[in-house]
Amino acid sequence: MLPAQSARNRAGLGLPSISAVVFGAVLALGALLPQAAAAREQLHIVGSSTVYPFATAVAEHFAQEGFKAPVVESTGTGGGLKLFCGGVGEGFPDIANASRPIKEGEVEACKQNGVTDIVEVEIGYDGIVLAAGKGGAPRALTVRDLYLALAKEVPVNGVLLANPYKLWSEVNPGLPADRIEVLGPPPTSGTRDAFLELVMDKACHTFPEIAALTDEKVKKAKCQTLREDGAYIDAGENDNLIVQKLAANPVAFGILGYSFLADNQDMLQGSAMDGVTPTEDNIINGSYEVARKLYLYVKKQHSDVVPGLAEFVAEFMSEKASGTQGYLTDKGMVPMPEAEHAAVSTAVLAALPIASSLGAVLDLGATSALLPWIAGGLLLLLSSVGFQLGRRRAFASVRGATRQLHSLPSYHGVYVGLGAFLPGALALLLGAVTAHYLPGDPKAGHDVIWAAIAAATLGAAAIGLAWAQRHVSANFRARNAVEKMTMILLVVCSLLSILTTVGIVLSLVFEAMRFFAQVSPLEFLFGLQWSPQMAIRADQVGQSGAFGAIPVFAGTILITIIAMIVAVPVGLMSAIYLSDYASRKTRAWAKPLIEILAGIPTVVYGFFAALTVAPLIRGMGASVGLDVASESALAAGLVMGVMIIPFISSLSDDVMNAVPQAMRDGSFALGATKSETIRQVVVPAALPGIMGGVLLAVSRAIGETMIVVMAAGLTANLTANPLEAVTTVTVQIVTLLVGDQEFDSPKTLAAFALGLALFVVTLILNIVALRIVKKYREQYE
Amino acid sequence: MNAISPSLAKMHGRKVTVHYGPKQALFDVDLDVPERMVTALIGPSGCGKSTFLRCLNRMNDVIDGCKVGGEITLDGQDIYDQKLDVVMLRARIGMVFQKPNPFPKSIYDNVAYGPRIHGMAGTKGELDEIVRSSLEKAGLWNEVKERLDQPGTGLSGGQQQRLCIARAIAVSPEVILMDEPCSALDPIATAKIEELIDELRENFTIVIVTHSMQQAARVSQKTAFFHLGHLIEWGDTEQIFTSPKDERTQGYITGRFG
Amino acid sequence: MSDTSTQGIRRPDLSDGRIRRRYAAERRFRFYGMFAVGLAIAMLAVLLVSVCSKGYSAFYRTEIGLDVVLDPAVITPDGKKDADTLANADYQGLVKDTLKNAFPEVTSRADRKLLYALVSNGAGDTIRQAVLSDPSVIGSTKRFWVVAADDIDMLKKGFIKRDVAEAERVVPDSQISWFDKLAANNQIKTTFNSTFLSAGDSREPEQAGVLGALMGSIFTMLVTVLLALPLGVMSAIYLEEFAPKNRLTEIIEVNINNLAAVPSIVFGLLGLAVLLGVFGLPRSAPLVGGMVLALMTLPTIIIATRAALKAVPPSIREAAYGIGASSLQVVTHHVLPLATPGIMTGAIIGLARALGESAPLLMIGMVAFIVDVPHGPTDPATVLPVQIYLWADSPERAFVEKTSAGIMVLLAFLISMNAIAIFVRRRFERRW
Repeated sequence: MLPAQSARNRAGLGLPSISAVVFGAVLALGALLPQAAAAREQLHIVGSSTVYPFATAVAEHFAQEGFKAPVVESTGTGGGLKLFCGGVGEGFPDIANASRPIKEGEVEACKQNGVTDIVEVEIGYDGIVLAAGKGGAPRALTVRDLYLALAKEVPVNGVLLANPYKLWSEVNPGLPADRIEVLGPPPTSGTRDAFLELVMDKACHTFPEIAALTDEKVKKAKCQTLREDGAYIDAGENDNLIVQKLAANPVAFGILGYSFLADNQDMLQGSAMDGVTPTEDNIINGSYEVARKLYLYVKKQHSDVVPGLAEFVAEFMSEKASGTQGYLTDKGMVPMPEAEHAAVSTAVLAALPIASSLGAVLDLGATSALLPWIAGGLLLLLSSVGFQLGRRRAFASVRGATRQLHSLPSYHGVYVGLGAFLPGALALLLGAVTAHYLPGDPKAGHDVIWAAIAAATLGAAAIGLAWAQRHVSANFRARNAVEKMTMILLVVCSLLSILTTVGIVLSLVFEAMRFFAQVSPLEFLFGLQWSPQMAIRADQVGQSGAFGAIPVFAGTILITIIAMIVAVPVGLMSAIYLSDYASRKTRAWAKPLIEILAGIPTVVYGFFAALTVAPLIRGMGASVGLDVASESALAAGLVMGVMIIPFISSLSDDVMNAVPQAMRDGSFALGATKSETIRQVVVPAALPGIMGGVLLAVSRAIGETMIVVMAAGLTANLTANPLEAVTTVTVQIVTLLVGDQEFDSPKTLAAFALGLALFVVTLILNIVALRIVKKYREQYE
Repeated sequence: MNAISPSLAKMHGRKVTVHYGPKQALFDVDLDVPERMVTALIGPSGCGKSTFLRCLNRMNDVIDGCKVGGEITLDGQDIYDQKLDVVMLRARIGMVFQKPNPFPKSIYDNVAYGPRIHGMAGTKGELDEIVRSSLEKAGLWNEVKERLDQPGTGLSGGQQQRLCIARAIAVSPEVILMDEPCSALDPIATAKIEELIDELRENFTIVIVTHSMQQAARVSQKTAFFHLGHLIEWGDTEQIFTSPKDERTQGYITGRFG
Repeated sequence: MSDTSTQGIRRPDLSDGRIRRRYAAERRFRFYGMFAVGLAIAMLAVLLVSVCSKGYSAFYRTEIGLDVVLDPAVITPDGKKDADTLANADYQGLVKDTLKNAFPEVTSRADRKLLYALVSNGAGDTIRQAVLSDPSVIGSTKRFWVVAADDIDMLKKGFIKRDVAEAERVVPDSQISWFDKLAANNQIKTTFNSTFLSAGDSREPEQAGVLGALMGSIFTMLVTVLLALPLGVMSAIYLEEFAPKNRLTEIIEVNINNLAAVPSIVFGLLGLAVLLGVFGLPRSAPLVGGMVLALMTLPTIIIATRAALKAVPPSIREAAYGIGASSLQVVTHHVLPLATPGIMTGAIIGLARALGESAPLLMIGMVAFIVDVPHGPTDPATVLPVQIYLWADSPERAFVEKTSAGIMVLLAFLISMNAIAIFVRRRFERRW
């Protein structure tokens, strides 16, 4: 954008080039924003975690046939349908996977948002199985056993009481005296819905005490409410995790889709239900009754929004995918009988004909995407024209005798260039925002709107250019004007950090307020039970949910303490050794090596903790007869401690170096040895600084996410035993938010309340720590 | 050079040289330190007097790249002997530094630090006694006896320096080295320290580095003049100040250079 | 003064025993220090060795040689040889037929299924590509080296042990015997796994690659640099060179220091609530990920830039003022160029941290299953660390080596970024 400059002009180069880079960057991003909101070329699929492996498999095959591969997110059936029903247009998913039929309330919600044309596609079956690890003996259960074991209230001697059973043998004397421990999916999952209906509801109606209830609502609530005292364990949306936990714990059962049992035959065994074992054949022929159909819900209105919608569904329903020998059966899906499959595919092909409009859709996408870039490019061009014009005019105004100018010509150029750029950029930005929020179908008239925006941008820029270039004259203080603008820019930039904080606080506070409107802050802060399993749809009967965050905080503190027990001594001693004992040569290689520990991504530590350290600790525990949870706090804490070591060591190194040599001399002169000097003079003198560093490290440990997400547990146990699994604030934020995007259930909002708590705690720690360190530095300056 | 008889000398230096890396800081210094006297080392900045002082209790060991040659003895024993333990040496030769450097501990703990590491007190009572008597000897007891548990860093500059002296004498050293102990102090505090040095002479052998010729004249019995790393002249203080033999000494004490 | 004569002079206890004890304590202390350093370095070594030893095997793979009859009846059932027909033919079926013919003794449905499971689901692709590039091969019989299924690959690499009881092994005895037969016929070979570096994600471990995540990371970093570097440098210039000392700038300073220590996941919540919630930006886009990471990196860059600016001696500023430069000219002409190496070093280190970051990206939908390699910052994408997280969560044994190999790629990137930072510092940094 800058032309070759004479040596005379080069003096002014620094500023314009910096501004050019900055404005270019901002503009490029500005142009990307509307583009991001515009054309989407690949399908967006959300929904059930049971269908997820099938949908991803089809997506891959679909991509191999030359289409853009669909993006698949595993969000749970409820969460997926919620997103799906959010509206029509590129911002909303095209297909929702479901492991249960859509409910009337959901259809209603869809209609309200304009999603009126939904095609339901049955893709196959999935059995709900009660699976256990291969370690235990095979067990035969009945639905009544399960109901009695898992319902919150059960009929005992004619009255409904809170579930008193702890052992399977209490439920049915024929069963072994093992602890009742069932891992199951959370309320957003279709697997859970199906389980409630096919097992709990069915069994519960066989009891006269329930049949006697007249109010249908109460009846449903009594039948479908699971116990919350720890016998039923909400194991998150990730069925793979349940598989691994079952393999590690022979007395536990897991409620899983059949596909997971099929996938993990080597680790799991399915329990017979009412005398029928869960096999593919038994599910197809209907003798295994705890089975359900799986569905796709397709937004037909999107067939001209995103290319390939009908083709994808056709691929899904083709013989080679969901047929009896199809590749989806390899993934564990139970196929429909041949005749049924043929009937369904024909019906679907009729409902979603493969249109030939594919090319047209793509074309529209391409030009639409280009328009914002064209507008931005023209603006840059006009601005650089302005720069040239201003410079020339400045030259011309003094007939080349630049000494007579108050400011260098390039400043005049920048002045005029900015004069064109600023109003133009403003117009572009406003236009993009308006276009984005314009109601109705965004695709229709996209080109018209953008043509208008481009025209407005160029018009504004031209007016600005004309206005600015009138100012150019020998006496015009262009430099001062440009510098003033630059200064404003600099101030705005430095205010951005404040804006970030304000943004963080506002977004956290705003969402947390909505949470606290539903859950009392006192319960949140002092409640001893955390099981955020609240019903998230009006028509779903869930558990009451408990939002007492104490166990979550306690888990965080436990892991942090373990981490500190590792990091503080090792970090401090390393710092002492490296600064006072090691030779210069040793220090030169050992110090950077230790600092590498801080640069390793936390996801790597998480992997290391989950895959290497946790099994090691478990094995060591088992060899001395200790029962160690597979996701013990110890494993996560130890690895986090290793990650924290360099923080402690470099901070303590800093503060100990700040202790004046005179102190050490004073001690040596009294005949103290090195270690006596360090222990009794240097460390005590540096203690405030070290404490500050430790506090910063604590704040880091509390906020650390990936290690605990991968290596710590999900269930909120209130325990101080490091061998048990605990959960942390960050783990809960991630599990509450990933895979469930509703913005109004207390479950999701709870994540923001936890986020707020996390932010406040770390903020206080940081402020205190930074104060201490600063004070300490001043003491020796 | 008028060497005093060995029986009177507490420490001897023979052909002491010091190198800091490639740079030589001291050249063949021969100096004796007589017992129960105050020896003052004077000379312009960078003349090597502090370096020599730090050789006497091997404080130079702490500095990277510092090499000491020649021989220094304490009661006839070579202090640079491999077998000699530096910790033991420093327990016998205390040091007071230019800037007061009390530890960031209470006044009591500052003084008790040395006795503790050397195991000088079996009981709390004994330790209390050592602290009290050391503070008394340093002339600080009456000023601080009410606030022994307060941090030593809270005292005034002069008090801090006397605290450091108390700390040094608490381990009952035989020799006390003082590296410009008054340079950071005001005249009143300086006077008190000088008074104290004079009293300490009864029990201790003292070597003091000073910039102030008046101070050297006031407190010392022996004076040594250093210049550019060489010991130019040493002898009785009175003789050095009244009839110096070397013209450089003459020039320095009359203020023509330095 | 007190009466010194009333007290006996106590001497330090310099007995040999006590000195020896003190020196023993000294040695112990020194040992603890050495032990701590050793422990920290050992941890690093264990971590790296465990990752590399698990991951190196992902860079090669097992292939099965099959003599496939390119039957026109299967490839072009209606006789037309147009691209569409050729692309959509059932090549996987051809592979299955070949296997069926090679092992005629396998008849039951369940056994056939196991037999077909020897090769990857994507095995047909190899043939598809050959046919598409040269349709004349149709009708002939050719040997194709197709990718083996992940479990077979694991068996070949020895991660699935043959001596385990069949019931506890993913690969049943029947598959092992077929595999051994193929191996005896020289129909098994090991080659470099090019897929791993050239493909996007896949549900099939043998078809999964890091390129998608790598490109996602690059686009995300691009957005982060474009935003964080200019904004960070300009804030730092203002705060260090121009800002008056008042309440506001003091708040900004404290605020920046605190932001630098705010947990990264909180930035993810900000992105979720503001960028996705309020501004309605798309999920899973590197653009949004880059913005979130830019906000996270900003404080680091500001702090590093301020340190670099501070290191430029005031004499240079004074000299420039002395010849009549405006304050902005002083900064842009003199201070900033001199501080550039320091700024670059700080920025690279900040970006390296952002590159390894995953927690905030989980919040904004960058954890989706994405096969296609992204071509721009608005294409849905994931990033390397998140890909590692996704793979680490997958149950297939073969994903363990993929995860470790993904980590190796990520670490290679980080190490090269840090090496550049060190190089810049050594090469250009001036000391005054």
